[in-house]
Amino acid sequence: MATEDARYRQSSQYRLWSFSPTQLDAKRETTNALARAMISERLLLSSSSSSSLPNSNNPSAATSNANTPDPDGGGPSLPEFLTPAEESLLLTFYTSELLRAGDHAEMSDEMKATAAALFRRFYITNSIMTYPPQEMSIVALFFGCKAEGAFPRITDFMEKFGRERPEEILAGEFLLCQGIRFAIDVKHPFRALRGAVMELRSFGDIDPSRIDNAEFHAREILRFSPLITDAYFHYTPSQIMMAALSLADRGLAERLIQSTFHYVAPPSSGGDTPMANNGDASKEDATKGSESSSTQAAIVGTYIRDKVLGAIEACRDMLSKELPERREHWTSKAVIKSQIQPIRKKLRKCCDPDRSNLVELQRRRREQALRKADSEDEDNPDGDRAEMDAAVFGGDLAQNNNTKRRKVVEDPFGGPL
Amino acid sequence: MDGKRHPSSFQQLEKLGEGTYATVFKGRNRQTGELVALKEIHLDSEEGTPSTAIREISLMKELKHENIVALHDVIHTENKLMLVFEYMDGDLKRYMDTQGDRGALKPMVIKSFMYQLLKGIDFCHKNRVLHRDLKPQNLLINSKGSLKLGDFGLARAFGIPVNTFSNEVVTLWYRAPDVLLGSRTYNTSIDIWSAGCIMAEMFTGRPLFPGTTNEDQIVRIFRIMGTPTERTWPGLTSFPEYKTTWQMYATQNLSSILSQIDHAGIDLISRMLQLRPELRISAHDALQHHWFNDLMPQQPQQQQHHQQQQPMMQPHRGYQQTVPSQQNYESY
Repeated sequence: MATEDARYRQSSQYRLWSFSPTQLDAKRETTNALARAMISERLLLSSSSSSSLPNSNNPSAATSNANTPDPDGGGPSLPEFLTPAEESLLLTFYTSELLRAGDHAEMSDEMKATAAALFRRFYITNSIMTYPPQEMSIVALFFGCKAEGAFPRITDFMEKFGRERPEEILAGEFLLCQGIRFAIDVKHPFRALRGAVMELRSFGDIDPSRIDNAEFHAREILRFSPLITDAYFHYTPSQIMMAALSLADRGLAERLIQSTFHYVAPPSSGGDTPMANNGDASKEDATKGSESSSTQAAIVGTYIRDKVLGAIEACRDMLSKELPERREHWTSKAVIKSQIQPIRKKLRKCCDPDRSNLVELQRRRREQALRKADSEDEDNPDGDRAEMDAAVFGGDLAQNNNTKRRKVVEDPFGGPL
Repeated sequence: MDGKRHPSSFQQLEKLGEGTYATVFKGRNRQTGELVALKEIHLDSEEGTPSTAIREISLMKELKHENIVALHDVIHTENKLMLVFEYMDGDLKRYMDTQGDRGALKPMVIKSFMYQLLKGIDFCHKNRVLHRDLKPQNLLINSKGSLKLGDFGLARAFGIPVNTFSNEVVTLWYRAPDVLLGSRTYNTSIDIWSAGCIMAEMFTGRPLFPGTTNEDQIVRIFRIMGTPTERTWPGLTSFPEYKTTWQMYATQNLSSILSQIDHAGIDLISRMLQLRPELRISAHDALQHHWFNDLMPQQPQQQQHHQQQQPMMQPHRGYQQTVPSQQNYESY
């Protein structure tokens, strides 16, 4: 029988979507750089050729145009692109918008949380400059419901979010699925919180109203703080839960840690609400196992305990920067005006001309796919891979013989699932 | 680049079957020559990716186990969705039809299949997944004698509480009595009931309870297992499908109906086919049942595993499922 830990390590959340902060920064920088390069190319292309779209059936035209200076002279100037830091700020803002929209649609905590997690996963390997975040947040909300087993009618959804046609939401679903590498199942800390509460109640010596209060506040934190930060990428659901509980009531969190690890918090730890140390009861219970195995477990436990405590503290720091009170920050007119609007203005100029309209993008890709299917020879071995890439990844990849670059372009979508 | 993600990297061979929402083809990876099963799902332009596909992908991405058919890849083009599964030679239904003696299999084969079935179920349940549609057609067999759970289109993750499930799942013949009675709070025990029915069927070659309607299904079960009463099944009378008109059948002796099964086997199957869901044995406990004692190949691994894990877990009582275990904080 595997432990919960071993099971979590099997999850796609751990296998595909857990990174160290350094790894995550590096990924976002790569995504940003890649988007700049792609968009520069497209902008140059569209301003120098008469057709606004690169025509994948006409490779010579596309390539020569890209390398030919603008015949009108002067040359098109490229806009200023978003920096990774600006993308990150916008991502936070749009995550907050997504959560608000989820509240508006009266979605469950799990649905909103899944939507937010998938939305943020998507934007690790896709730049905000490439795909419009406002549209993708609605797509993520719709898909978040589906991922959590609720299947809202698309028409209801359209109404709630003021969209006129189903395609406006569905067009991005395929992109989202691909961007999240079909890892649809998101593990949240809510269940762990319920478990922690049950455990705290089972101690029998803690004022029930204190537990209720802590649960309420921890849940409020879980509904916002880890979703709007990178917590899900760095910490396990239980670590996030413990961090939130410790922000809600440090004493209770310590009590739980103590009973789990037989750990007595050092007096200098400065808990917000120090807990009287009456751990004897839990210790008695905990030593039910054979003595030798409990000694061994205690040694292993000490090592793991320190690691886990470190992770909880680091997670606590992260969450404390975006406590639920910050909901108001992200909707404040002053903040939006001074911090968000300037970036959005910039974004309008530097967004990908081929991808800002998801419905149009999907229509074009479907046509390409159909053309491809028509001309497909069933037994032709992967000779037309490049063309398929063009169908799948859109645009002008088929013409690009630089395999190294192609590899980089494809990598964000990852290897085999 | 693996080159596996495009439909063109698979050569499509013969059709293996047609499901409710998908068509399954045999396929061959053009690069490696490896055989695969290609499940082609047509995208609903009205509502986007179908719910069954989302459930199946979502669960199969998480459930990696030797007794669960592996999802290798998902290929999503603009017009269709293709799930690439490991290839299995056939399903248990066909295996019984072709290899069995009028459908009945040899006891040691049954034991091996039951062990593998329960291991797959146990893994699902530990990962909080109910299969909900176990039947011989959904159990895949390969030439090495491996059995794997397939078709997770109806499966779903469960949490606490488990009360909003539709009661319109699970093929009638393998459907648990509590589900038939309209329970909407069913849990892991529904898969155990199905496993019990499948075990009987492997011995006899015939379905144990081949009902034609919901009502007929209930009656067929009662005829063998006995008609329950509020006394033998507290809460029975509150089920939506409870009828005061049920004929009262006495409980039959399973060993006389299933005379092919040895004593230990009867003990196990009668623990699986308990009318009351809370009395049904868990997959985990069923795997420890002494009927499996003479099943050598898989045993050592299993026991070794346990000895390693237990000392680590024993000293820490508590709610293993949802509370941070002593090793880590990885529960969810």
